[in-house]
Amino acid sequence: MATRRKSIVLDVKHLRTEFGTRERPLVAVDDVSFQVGQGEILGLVGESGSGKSITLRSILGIVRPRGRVAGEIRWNGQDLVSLSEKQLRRIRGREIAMIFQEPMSSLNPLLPVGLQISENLVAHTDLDAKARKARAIELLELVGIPAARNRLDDFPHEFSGGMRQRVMIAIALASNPKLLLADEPTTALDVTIQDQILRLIQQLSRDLGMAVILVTHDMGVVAETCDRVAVMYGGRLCEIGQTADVIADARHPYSLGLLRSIPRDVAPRTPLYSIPGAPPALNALPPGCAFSARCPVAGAECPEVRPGLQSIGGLRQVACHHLGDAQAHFRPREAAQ
Amino acid sequence: MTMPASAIASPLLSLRALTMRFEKRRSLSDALAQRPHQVVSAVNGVDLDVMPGETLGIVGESGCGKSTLARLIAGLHRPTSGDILFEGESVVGLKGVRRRAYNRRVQMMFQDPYSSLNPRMTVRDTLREAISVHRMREGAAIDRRVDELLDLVRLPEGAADKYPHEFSGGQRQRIGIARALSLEPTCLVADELVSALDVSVQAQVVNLLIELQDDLGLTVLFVAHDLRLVRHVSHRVAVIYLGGIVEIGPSEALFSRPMHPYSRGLLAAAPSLDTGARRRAPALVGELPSPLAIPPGCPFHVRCPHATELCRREKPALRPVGAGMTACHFADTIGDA
Repeated sequence: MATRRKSIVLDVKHLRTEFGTRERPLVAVDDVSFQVGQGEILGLVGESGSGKSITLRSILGIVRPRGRVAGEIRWNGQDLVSLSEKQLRRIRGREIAMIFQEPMSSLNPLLPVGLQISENLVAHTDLDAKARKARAIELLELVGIPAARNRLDDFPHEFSGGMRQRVMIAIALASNPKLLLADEPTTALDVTIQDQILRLIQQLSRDLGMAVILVTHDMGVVAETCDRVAVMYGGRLCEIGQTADVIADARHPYSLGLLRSIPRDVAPRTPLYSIPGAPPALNALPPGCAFSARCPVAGAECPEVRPGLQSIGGLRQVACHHLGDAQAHFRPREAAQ
Repeated sequence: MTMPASAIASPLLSLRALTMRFEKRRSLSDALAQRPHQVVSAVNGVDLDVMPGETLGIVGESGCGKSTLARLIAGLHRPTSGDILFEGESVVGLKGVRRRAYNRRVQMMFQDPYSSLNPRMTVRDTLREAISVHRMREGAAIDRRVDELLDLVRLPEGAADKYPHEFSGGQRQRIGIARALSLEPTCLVADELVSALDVSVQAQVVNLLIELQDDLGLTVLFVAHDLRLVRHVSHRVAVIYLGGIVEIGPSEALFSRPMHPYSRGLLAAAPSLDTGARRRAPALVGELPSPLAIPPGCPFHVRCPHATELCRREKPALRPVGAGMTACHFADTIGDA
């Protein structure tokens, strides 16, 4: 877990992704900057519509051509934003791989899984047919599929949800990627299977030195899996830091509210904390802080003036005008316990 | 925790050896070869008492039969065998007026607020239909009741004449609750009521449910896979595995000291916010076996770290262990491990 500033593999600077017309753009990701170190697991957490999935897709360039990506995405020194589709294809799936929430809809239902793994090996390695088969078996064993040799000819529908996600991971690993982008990989799975998949991702990251960006809406998943966490709201980053620090001592009113609304150390059947209102629509974001409309400590300037990410010591950055007020507002519960 | 003063009262709802089997359709070749029908055993001999005014949480992995159980209670399936008693009277064979009376008193709320509301009916029409079909009110009193219900679930004024798509997910769940309450039921069956909602909105709906239950003296069956929420709202919790109860007991006791090895694995697998307690190995290995072929003996023995020859041979009965009931041959000894 000790990933103190290892060499940085991905450096995202002022990423902005928008859709719609140029006159009235819908800004899904707005001025997002973060870095991922080698072998590090970064959690990207937020509610639906917060821009976390679009951030991942922007990295791989799969929001094009409908989405417009601006800013810089430095991958080993090279800016991915400026690359052509053809140049990107050499990195996509080879150096950077991605897994999705719905393994059933990302696997081809008409092809056996062995062939789907081989396809990736054909595209990204020089192995011959025999070596590819051996490698496919090796990969399925690596992700914990029992009797892997006998399952190469099975179709996706013959696997359970958890096993399908393992197959997806095996396909992603075929080219020995340096970075794995995981978009809610366990949201559709039971907690027991989710636990198995997360432990697998953790183990692979550790053993292969692979960096991971894990998108999730569950702070519990972050707490158990990620080294660092970035909290997103309304397409912007509101807080980023070491996982243990953020969970023990969140500073942004949104992270504080999100953590507080999870039942933990509260008397049964007493009212849970809930953030008032609902997440904002992309076309109704204020020029200032995206969270200001639901924020308990927002001042008059918050909807107008955008707070920037400020370093508050350690590896922690927070974007809020009222850090002191937020801490005072959310403190009473701890005192009451 | 305020346990309802019903420990001595007679149960509102009793399930007696309740069993639900679904026959799989045979393919033509199977029929010609006279192979027997394959049978999915979704619910296998469940005995359960639900006390008036209590919240009973029902948890388990997907495919364990918890939704089938909820649907049996709501009268959406007719059980293969066994009995459901409501206030001491069997409701399985009810017809006509008495069936409708039962249907009115036991109301179900569904997971998906998008598909459980008619998109072409305004909220007022949806509620009016329920009220007038069951003749709860007449004439102008119907509209007064609609306004009253919307007020009860805290929907804004003017909500009555809008269509479901004009509401957020959380508000749609409130409409679902209002529809259930319009029939002045005694018992609510909530099947994954808040699973589709964002964390910050979940808390709003859960708070509302607890408050309404206390105000109206409702009995609630809370089926969910989010164990943190189940712990928060339930007085008692039943853990289901392959269609049978493996453990049932007071919520706090069960969560702080689960006795059945399956409950232990399930609780350990649920993501917690405790960053200090990271595991390298998954809490529970393997997957839920197919309900087409339930293992003999204890259904959990294939995944159980403590299984012995006895477990493979003999199915353990539910018996008192600690504060609740557990179906495990070795609950007493492994409970202390």
